[in-house]
Amino acid sequence: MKPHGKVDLFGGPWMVAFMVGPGLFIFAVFVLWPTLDALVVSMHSWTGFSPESQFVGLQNYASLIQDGRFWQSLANTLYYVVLGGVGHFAFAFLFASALNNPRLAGKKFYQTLIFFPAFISVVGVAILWSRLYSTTDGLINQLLAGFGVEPGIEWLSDRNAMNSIIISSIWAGVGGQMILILAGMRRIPATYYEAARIDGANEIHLFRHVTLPMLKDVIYVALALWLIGSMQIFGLVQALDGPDVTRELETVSTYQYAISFNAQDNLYMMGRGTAMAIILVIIIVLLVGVARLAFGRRELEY
Amino acid sequence: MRLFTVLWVVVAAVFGLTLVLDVTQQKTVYKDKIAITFASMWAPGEPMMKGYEKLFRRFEQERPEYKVEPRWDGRWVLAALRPRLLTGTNIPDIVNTERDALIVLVKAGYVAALGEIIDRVPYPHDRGEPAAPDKRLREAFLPKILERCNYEGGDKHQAGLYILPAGVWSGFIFFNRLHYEKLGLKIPTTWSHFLSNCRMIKEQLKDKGIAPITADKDSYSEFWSQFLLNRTLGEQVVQRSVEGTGPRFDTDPRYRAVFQAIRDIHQDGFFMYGWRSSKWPDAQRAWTQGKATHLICGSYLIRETLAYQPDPAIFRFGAFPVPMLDAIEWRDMKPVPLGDPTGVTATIAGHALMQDAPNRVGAIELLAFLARKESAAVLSSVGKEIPPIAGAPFPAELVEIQSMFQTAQTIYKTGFHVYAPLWNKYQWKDYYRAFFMGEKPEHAGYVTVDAFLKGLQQRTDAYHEAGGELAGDRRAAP
Repeated sequence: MKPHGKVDLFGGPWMVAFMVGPGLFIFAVFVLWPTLDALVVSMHSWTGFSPESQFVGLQNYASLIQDGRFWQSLANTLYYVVLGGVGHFAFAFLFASALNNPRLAGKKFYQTLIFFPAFISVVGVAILWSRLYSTTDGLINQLLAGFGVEPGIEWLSDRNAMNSIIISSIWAGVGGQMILILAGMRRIPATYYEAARIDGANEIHLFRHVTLPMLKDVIYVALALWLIGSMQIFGLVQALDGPDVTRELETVSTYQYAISFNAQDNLYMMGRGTAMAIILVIIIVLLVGVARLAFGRRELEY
Repeated sequence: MRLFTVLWVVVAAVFGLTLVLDVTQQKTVYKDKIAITFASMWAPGEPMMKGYEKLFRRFEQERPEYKVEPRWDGRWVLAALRPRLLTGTNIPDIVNTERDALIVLVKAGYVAALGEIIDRVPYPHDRGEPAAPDKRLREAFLPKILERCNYEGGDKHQAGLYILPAGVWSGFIFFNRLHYEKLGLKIPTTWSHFLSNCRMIKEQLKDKGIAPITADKDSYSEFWSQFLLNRTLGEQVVQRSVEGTGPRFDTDPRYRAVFQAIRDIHQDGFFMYGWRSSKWPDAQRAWTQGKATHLICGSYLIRETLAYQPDPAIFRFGAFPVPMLDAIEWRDMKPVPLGDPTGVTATIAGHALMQDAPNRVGAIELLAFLARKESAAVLSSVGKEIPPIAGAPFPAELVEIQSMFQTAQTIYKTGFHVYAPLWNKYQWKDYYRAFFMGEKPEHAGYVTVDAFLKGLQQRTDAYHEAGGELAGDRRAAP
């Protein structure tokens, strides 16, 4: 094992250290350290610029708990997560089911078409939709006018903007979920459907008792990705409603940004902003945990 | 193999440290030249960036020993600076951004005091200008603007001058001259005159699809109130009301008069169709397309609309100060208004010399060069910036306002954020928006003036009861 008393570099713990070490080092420097540092920052009063900061314990967290604005931003975020989630998954299932139909011609074309918006940057999506939503010369209002709808729908007014953002987010992001679900559907053996049909199952029965249970693990992955991404919704809201995002649209991330870096209002409250980020992480972990309990725990076997 | 492992770890460490310390952006070394680094709030391609580039080339021709190295970081100049400041690497010589943003750096101790320097450095003469040996750099600036650059002091840093003014943005009502000429309208000097002009535009030009006023759902609508409040009450009165120690919003008649005046512009047909749902720069674009006559904005509007290349057959630039409340209302008002009807608002962009500037001497020379009248003229003509330099020409679009601006007795700050950032962002902006835009169903069309002022006072009281911070506090931001 140790010829001539030398260390064997090609096997054993040295080799493990050699293979794992660099990755571990990068993880420690770029993930672990910033995470721990964020915890420390969240307990300080700090502008983000000064080399000095003041330890305030849990005061930043206590301020947030008493801050109605924070709760409203959380409620707005959850509204987006729930309503946007229903929209994303409904359309993702619809498109995936259609594309999984063996009788459909031109699948690749439709698949590319639905997935294409995923290639566009979030700011590009925002610019595109802000033009479509324009009250005065937007395409949507012009199309609706063609159907006799009263002109002047204010899609981006404070009252309507969150629903408008959800619509544009579904357009931009449904392709990702669709691809995951479609891959899951294609994995289900055709024999399961044939056996169910012989037993008298119709299409709804097939979807409910074969497709959905067989997709549980895929749904869990798609749902977890959706929760992680949507709870941090920032770019679309900021680009469509910024730079001053209104109370009706403010999400936890835009609020965090406004508190931490808002040069326009001279706000540089890095400690409180970081506390918000920590709370957001905790909420996301809890939600993903619930999703795992619902969809991800048991392996299904027929 | 061991050597290989060690090498691997060293490479990984260098890679990691490179990213952390941002040493990839080390300064370029110029042979026989001393580099002056200039970190700016302007982004590549902006008119101000083009103006500065032109000036830097001139400076390098005059002073061949120097090479100016600009960093066009855009509005995120402070965010771009943050890692450099915290790690002490690649500190620029000069930082150019808004005065209020620079004060953040002053408070953190990164900026050098300039009071003694501007009294020592000679006056920056234009080329060919007769020398005046007794004059100093201080005299190059408009005194009222220079005064606004002062830092009031704090725990660690003495009050004094840390920023030299680089440019000014002032708020005006911008108008399409062609509409005024067509209807024979005069530039309004009172609020009722302004309303009467709007009424005439609505009556005469509505059929042509032209509205008296355009706006969007972004923050410019606040300008209406801020300019009128400063002029009617005086800035210090407004500041004390915001801080909870001055006249109450809901009982002082001057507040009522101002907000009633703002409510008066919400007459049917005054605002352009769809304005509540439009976003910047929709209002500006519509205005330059001749779809509306008036637009309230800062003077940066001039350079922002350059790209639209407006058709001179339908649009010609004009600007006038926000008109004062009518004389009768003004005279009869009790308590007596303390504002200055001739006052102008000013948001100041500045130059700060960094405490650890690698080339302090060169940086001071560049700052003096930028304070020349001819340098200011370049930024005024190319960048469309109002110059803070005495005797420098204004942008052609604002030439009528030049004498009024340069002789103004009062220079008001723009925005309540200078008094109380959180109150401004979370108590004022939202509620004012509800008042100004009036779209929520629970408001049954509009929030009335009385309801607005009562609500504003309640929000302000609640803010202070909860221990809300003020900009004047010497505490660190939470």
